[in-house]
Formats: sequence, structure tokens, C-alpha cells
Amino acid sequence: MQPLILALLIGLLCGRLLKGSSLIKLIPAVVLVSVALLLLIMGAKIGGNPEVISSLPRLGGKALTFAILSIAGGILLTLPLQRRNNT
Amino acid sequence: MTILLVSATIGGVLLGRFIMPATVLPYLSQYALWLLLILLFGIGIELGSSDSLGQRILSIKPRSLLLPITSALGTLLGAGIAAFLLGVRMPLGLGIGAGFGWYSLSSLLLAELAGPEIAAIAFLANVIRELIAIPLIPWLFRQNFGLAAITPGGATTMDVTLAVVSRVTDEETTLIAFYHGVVLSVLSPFLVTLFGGR
Repeated sequence: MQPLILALLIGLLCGRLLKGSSLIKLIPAVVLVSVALLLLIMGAKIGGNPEVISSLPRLGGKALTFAILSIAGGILLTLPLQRRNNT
Repeated sequence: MTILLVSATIGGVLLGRFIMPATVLPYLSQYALWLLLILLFGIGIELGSSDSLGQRILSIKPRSLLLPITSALGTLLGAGIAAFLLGVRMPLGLGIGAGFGWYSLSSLLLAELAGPEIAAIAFLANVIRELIAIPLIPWLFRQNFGLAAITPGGATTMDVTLAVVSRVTDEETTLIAFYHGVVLSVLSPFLVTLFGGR
């Protein structure tokens, strides 16, 4: 995890230095491509793992329930924080 | 953006399933780390080159720092309800939720602590969480959910879904999202081990 934080900090510093440079315009595309490639790799790891694929029909519904309720809980408990934040 | 990212994921699954030789798989994690570094470096540049970043950081309300707490507690509450509904043992259900979207780590830990079945559910649940978060986060921001729109990403708001957040919101919210992801990433292994070992 530390290398990731370091990468962000070095980026912040470079961003300061490159401010106003035309190189900056390329960055959003670089970010988007790297995310797309990361998801492609994640997908390939899942698709290339027969155990995962074969467990989907049996465990997919349970996993989906956990995912949806986990997300809903996080949003729900954060909403009060947000409302008070606005006032 | 959402369509590109979702099709990249689906494309990856098809690639891995039908085209890519199995021998390539072990190398993928190494590429993934480099991509993560490039990703965070890029988002760092975007943030660093924006105007008055210092002022924006100072304008972050102290209350926003509670975000990882409400997000983590809410996730555990939701996972607890899921465990109850599905008849999964409560501590193990909480362990699945405490992956916070970090599917690789949570499933590895739970494979040791709780066996392959729980590990497989944790893997799938946390992958699905990340996949739902990618289209959900922009939608929630458009619906004015504010900080709550960050939470679906869980621990991944310090990497993959940080890119999604930074596309649809301002610099200070992007920084809060990064902080949210870091805190949940630190909490995740502790909580998964704590719950999964029971």
C-alpha cells in the first residue's frame, strides 16, 4: 500500500511542477486506460480460474446479496453525516 | 466511461476464459501493480496541477474524516443482515463484508481461516461490489448523495474506483475518497482476520 501512497505524492509534486504544461492534458487518458487495463486483468484472472467460474451458479446469489447489502449499509449510515455536512 | 470500464471487465473475463493460456495468469498480478502505480501517479498529477489545492484541502470539513467509520460500520451492518438472511454464520458473514471490496486479500485470508466455501463467497461478493461501484458511484454523485456516493467503492477508492470518483467530482472529494480507501484498506485485513477466525 505504501508504494501506492508514494506514487500519489510523487504525482502531486510533478503536477505542481508541470502546472500549465500541455502534458497535463494527456493524463486523464492515461488514468482511464490504466483503470480499463486493471479491470481487464481482473476479468482475465476470474475468467481464467475454472474454480471461480464453476462456483458462480452455486454461490453467485449469496455473493450478490452480500455485495448489495454491504453497499446499501455503507450509503445508509453515511447519509446522516452528509446531511449535517450541508448545513 | 462506465461503458468502457464494464466492457473492459467483460472482455477480460472472456479473454481469460477462452483465449489466454493459463501460463500467462501468474504474470498478470505484476502488471497490475505497475498499472496501479501509474494510475495513482496520474491522479496525483491531476490533483497537483489543479488550482488552489492547498485551500481546497483546508476547506475539507473535519466531519468528512468520519466517512471511513460510517462506511465501514454500514458495510458490516449490511453484511450482517446478509449473513442472517442467508444462514451464514454471523462472524464469517462480517468477515466477508470486511473485505470492503478488496477481493484478493479477503478471500486469501478467509481461505486460511474459514475454508474454501466462505473464501469463494468473499471473493465473488467483493468483486461484485467493485463492479457495482463503478457505475453506481457516478450515478450517486449525480443524485447529490455527496460523500455517501464514495462508500460503494470501499477500500478500492484508493485505486481503481478513485479514478471513477475523480472523473465525476471535485478535487477535495477525490482526496477524501483516497483517504477513505486508505483507512478501509488498513482496517480490512484486521477485521477479516478478527471475524474470520471465529
